[in-house]
Amino acid sequence: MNRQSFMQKLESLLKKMPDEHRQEAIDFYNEYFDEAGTENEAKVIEELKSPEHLAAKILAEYAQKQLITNKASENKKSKRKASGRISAFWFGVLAVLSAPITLPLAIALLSILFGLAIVVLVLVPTMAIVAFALLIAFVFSIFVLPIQALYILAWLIILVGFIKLLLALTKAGLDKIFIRIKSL
Amino acid sequence: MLFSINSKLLEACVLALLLDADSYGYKLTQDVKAMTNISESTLYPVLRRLQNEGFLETYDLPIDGRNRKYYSITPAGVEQQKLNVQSWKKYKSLIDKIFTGDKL
Repeated sequence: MNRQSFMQKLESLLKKMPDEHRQEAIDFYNEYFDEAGTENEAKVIEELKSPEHLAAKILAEYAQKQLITNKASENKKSKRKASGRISAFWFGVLAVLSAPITLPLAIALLSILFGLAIVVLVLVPTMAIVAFALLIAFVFSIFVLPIQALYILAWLIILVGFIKLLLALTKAGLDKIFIRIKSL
Repeated sequence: MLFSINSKLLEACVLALLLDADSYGYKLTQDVKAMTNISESTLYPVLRRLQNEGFLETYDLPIDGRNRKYYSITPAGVEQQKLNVQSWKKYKSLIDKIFTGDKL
């Protein structure tokens, strides 16, 4: 094995490392060969044992460094979590202190939501019944009064549109509320 | 040598050499080899580690139409080496006591 094949093998064994780190190692050993001089090439290769042996050492050092930096970033993360917990604590304090104002507000909000729910619950079935009646009326009148039957059809379509709109709005509203609750 | 030099000791040896003067990879390796007669085939991982810890700095110097990367010790490295020397003295006296049979 000569210098060139040694270095090629080393480079391919280090391909898992990021480019800059690999290049630094390759530069180091190229310089090492240069300093030793061509007359000592064989001696250097003997000293360094094998590309595999060398790559294992370089990778071990790199892996260890990665482990340390990962640990450091994990520590940072858990610190951030702790600060999150503190703000949750202050949120609780604020909630208790502002109870005289927020409690009536919450009750009012709940009443409005309850009212809206009743409206939706009553309105949707009513509209559905009317739509059904219109459908029957349409089917029966199409043969007798075709023009009037078309009017009925128009109203029917408008009504179905309203029902769908109402349901979609209710669903969107509920989804938003659920997301808020989950994020709390 | 009967006793092996572990990586921390090797780091301390490199810092000790660099306290005298800046040096480069090949020369450092030869110096350490000559002094300690270690089987360690390369100092590269040791130098990388010291650099990561901020104990070493590097700079390039052109020589014979190519670059030579020099290593120099940082103030943090000097402080670390003081700790290393203290720690070694404690360790040495402990082993000495055991070997001479003195009470610990």
